[in-house]
Amino acid sequence: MSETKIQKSQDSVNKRRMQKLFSNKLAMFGLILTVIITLLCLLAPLLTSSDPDFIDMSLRYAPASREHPFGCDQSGRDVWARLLYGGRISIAIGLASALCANVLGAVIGCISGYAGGKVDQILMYCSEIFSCFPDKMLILIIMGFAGQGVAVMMLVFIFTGWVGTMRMVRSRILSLKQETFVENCRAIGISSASIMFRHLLPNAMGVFIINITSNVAGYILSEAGLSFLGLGVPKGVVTWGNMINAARNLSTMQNYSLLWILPGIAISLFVLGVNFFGDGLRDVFDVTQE
Amino acid sequence: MLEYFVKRFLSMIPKLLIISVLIYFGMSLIPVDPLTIMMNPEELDGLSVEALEELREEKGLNDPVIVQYARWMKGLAQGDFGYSLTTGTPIKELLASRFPATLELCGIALTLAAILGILLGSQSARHKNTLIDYGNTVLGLIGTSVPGFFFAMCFIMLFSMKLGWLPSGGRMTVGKTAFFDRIEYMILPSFCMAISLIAYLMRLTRNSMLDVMNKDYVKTARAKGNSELSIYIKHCFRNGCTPVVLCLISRISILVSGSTIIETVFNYPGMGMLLVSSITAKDMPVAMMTMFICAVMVLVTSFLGDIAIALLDPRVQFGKEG
Repeated sequence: MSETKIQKSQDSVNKRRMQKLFSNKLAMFGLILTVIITLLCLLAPLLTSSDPDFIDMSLRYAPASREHPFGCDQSGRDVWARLLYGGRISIAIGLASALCANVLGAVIGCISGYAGGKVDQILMYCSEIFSCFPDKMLILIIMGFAGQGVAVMMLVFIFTGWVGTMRMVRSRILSLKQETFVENCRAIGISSASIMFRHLLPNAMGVFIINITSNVAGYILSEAGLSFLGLGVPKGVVTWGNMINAARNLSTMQNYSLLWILPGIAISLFVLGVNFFGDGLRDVFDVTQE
Repeated sequence: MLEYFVKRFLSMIPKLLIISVLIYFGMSLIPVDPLTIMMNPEELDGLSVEALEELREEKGLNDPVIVQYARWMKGLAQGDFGYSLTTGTPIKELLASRFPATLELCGIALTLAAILGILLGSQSARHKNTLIDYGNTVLGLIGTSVPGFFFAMCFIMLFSMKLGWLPSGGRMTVGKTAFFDRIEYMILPSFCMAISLIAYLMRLTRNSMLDVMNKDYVKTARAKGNSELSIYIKHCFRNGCTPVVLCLISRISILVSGSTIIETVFNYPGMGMLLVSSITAKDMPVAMMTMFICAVMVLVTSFLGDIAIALLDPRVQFGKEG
């Protein structure tokens, strides 16, 4: 097959996939939900004039008003502004760490699968050791040592998150390695690195994309959970998880339930959107769930 | 077969060693005098600098790292886990009181998840592409998307504060320690822990059942004129459940780590809450040992899982695994 012909068939596969994705109502609903929430957070300065960190003690637990559509929290900060600005950081942490963790996982998985032998054994062994620690606990311990911070948290997510992708990409590469096109590549003298990353890895793209969506959802939940425990992002940084953490004591929980229900709903809706979309993607790429 | 079990068992040992090395060096990173971790704080009280130095020599803190590590491992094997930095209680005692609590909670959550997950999943598969199926799928996605602690807070709000049916936290009423008296304390936390697992199992059961329902032997059974229900129970359910059960075993570790947050919300005195409170208090020895126990638990459950796979699934070939 000539180069253009391959390109063409690849294009039509992609086209078919896109069509299937766009006809999946649940996935489209998820995508729209995610995009809307992301846009709301990005456009925060246009949607609210309040500063999310501005403390006004005279407005403690103020009820909803025209100026503060969802009222104010225990320090008199505008809840609507905090929701929007908090979402920025929560979403950014989720997206960035998922992207990095998956790139790392894909590269390691690709090397492991293609190289085989001793390299493969060592890398697989590393991943097995990593998976012996319950993931949330490992994150907790590292955060305990390294201190709290947005960057630390992202690094920890990346450090612990590559294993899943690595294994899936590796098994994909292992089966692809047997195909004739790899032999062809080798016969015409293409370097191993080029075979790995230009010819093999793109074929494992489905796994990669699906893992990113599920990791984004997972990391946003983890960030929220850790911040909720008071061990995640520093208290001063506004995220959805920190907002719930601030409203955790029983009296606030009961009397000012809006303070924790709103960020809770924000997290749930965003993650729900990502999961709906990811589910649609999974159908399209036909990757069996592990 | 026995050979496989022995091999699989032996493969745990190097992993255990690596985990212990990681934990040991993690502990040695803590910027405190190791004596305070190794000794009962009451014995250290009022000792002079020379006496402390002597003690250090006696305890072998000036020995090479490897020797110290070996001694630490020996202590672990004999149940000497060291002392908490904040309260001075032996870590062994802390763990001994917390471990059964978590085990109890996880056990109930696991049972709940298995029953509900498999029931809902097989129901979905049976009524594929109907309203029931779609409803279950959406419910499942909601179950995996909403954070566990948010569920927990909503439940506390609803069942403890508004309705007053169930306690909002703790493990038992003072003086009432029997298992059945404690159950009301476990309903909410175990259910919250189970939710995401239910969603996961439901999906897995659905897919695996659908897979089985298209198999030839089901068609044969139908051609023989068996009733739909008997086909469903005898042929589909039994075969479809095997992968689900296996997966259930391998997922126990998720429950353990999920317990950290749920236990904290419900103030349930288990391993998860111990971990969180020790990290908050910067009591790293307790945190590391809790972690160690959990990692060992994961290792053991994955071993048991593999054994179960080997016993249940005739397709597993022995001797091919490394």
